[in-house]
Amino acid sequence: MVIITAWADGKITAKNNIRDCAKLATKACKEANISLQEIDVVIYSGVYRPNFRSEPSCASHIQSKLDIRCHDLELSSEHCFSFDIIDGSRGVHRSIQTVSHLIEQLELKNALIVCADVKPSKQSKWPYQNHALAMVLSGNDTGLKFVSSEYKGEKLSAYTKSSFDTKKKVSVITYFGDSSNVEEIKEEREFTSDSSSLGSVQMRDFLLWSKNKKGNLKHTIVDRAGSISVTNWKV
Amino acid sequence: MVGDSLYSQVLSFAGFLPKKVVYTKDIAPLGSIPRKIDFERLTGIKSHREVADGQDSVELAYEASIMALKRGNLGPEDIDLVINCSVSKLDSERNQILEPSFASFLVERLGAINADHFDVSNACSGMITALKVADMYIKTGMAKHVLVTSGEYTSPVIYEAQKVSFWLNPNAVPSLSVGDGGGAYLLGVSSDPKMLRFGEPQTLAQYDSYCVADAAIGAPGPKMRTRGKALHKAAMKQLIPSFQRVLKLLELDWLEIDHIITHQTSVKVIKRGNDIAVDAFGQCKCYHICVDETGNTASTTHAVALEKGLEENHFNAGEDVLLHSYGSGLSIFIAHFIIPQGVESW
Repeated sequence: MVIITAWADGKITAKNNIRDCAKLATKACKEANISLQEIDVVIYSGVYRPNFRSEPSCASHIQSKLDIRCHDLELSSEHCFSFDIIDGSRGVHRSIQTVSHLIEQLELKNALIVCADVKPSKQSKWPYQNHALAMVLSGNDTGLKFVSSEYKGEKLSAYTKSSFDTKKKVSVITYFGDSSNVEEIKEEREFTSDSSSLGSVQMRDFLLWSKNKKGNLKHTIVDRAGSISVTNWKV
Repeated sequence: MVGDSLYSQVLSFAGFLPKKVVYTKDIAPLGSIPRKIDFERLTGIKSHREVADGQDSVELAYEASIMALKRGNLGPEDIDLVINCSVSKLDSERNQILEPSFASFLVERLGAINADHFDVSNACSGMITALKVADMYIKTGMAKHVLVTSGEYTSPVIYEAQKVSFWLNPNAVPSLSVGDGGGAYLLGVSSDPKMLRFGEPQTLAQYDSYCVADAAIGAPGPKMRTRGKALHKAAMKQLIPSFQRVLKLLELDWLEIDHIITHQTSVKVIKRGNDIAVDAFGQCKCYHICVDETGNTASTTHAVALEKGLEENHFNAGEDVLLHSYGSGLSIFIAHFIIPQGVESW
């Protein structure tokens, strides 16, 4: 079982997105009272990257910027592992699920999840804000405890791709289909995020709502295509 | 199942190559690269495959997935989870699939109506990373049958590179070494903890800028820029420690491993790596090379090498395979698995 020990969020810039994400991660680590070198795994869960970057993982860029165990391999040297998870707005839930597996099965201590999205090119239509959420998760503390998650897929009714704008000579985002529209719903123990936001904002809103709550909590994310993820939490 | 513990096993695997063969001498003829470099001689890559018109990353992953399902005697409806790890994620117009995930497109194409789905992205180490994530889903009982898949339509980076000056952009030269391909592994539940195991995952992020792929400038599709020599040097530096660590962790004897497959970057690099390994551990039973005919097919290189090994009747049920992956980042991850029963009839 993993706990979100600390988090930080804020606006980021497309130009300096890695630096901005690293700043938020540093802030979250400070609040979690751990040093950056105690991070065993970094997962990045955003969809939209500057200039449509496809490799390497954004997580490795963040690890590099934070200088987490950036040294060559030796027989007994300790290292960090970084990779990205992409699942639309649900990626942040999927990352928490994956971290819970990693912490339990590989006996890791601390993980950093960075969920961030930026406008991939200046010419793209972008109804969102460039935003990032950095969360520190650990297996041995008290706080907001991740219990389980469920995922329900829907037919692919809405999706996005890059496309090449022949007039502007640049790649831009193209939106296809009718995206689902679920407004924010706050109940005593259940929070459904506003589906018009990206994953980092949806998760941030849940974290804000969960403050001062006790008992079992539920968070639902609905992505653009209507696919749903539900996470169960305990405080 | 004996006891309460769940483990995973590879039920089947498949590599898929599109039919079109493109020769290195045609994309990188003598004189096209500065200092009279003979690219074919430098890399040992004689040819690679490219998609036909209308084929794309999804189609490459689909073809490999269908083969893996057939070999595993399962249908798309039997799959609980599809994890995709493609780097390229391009449709036939060279547009990048962004949201919700590449896996969601593949699930629709496969008709895997019961499958949950998402993407793992970790460059050329993506496949081993996705196998580990799949393994964790099986171990926790969240999935029984997981399809780990990738479709790499990477050849657009070749043609982007050809348009720039190699004198001014030497980091574009390694883009000529790639090829298109698909790969898939079907995982299921096992009571034996030794059917599929992993080394420690590591990212040496001080090398994160050594190979980067972004949208091309002024043209559709991606571009890739690689500090080839520096990346090669960094990778070679980690080779022996990475093997030493996995041998110790999994209690393996190098000389007893039946098959070793490293990331297929170039013939010269693989042979050099083997020479270094021979000095450290002795000559292994069999190491596989397919890059001479396929080019570097990114996250699918191990699956493509396995497929070639199948065609050449290298594999018998019960033999073990060590997959060593390097991905830009620099990510290093090793998997070890046992060849499943029935492989001889595939």
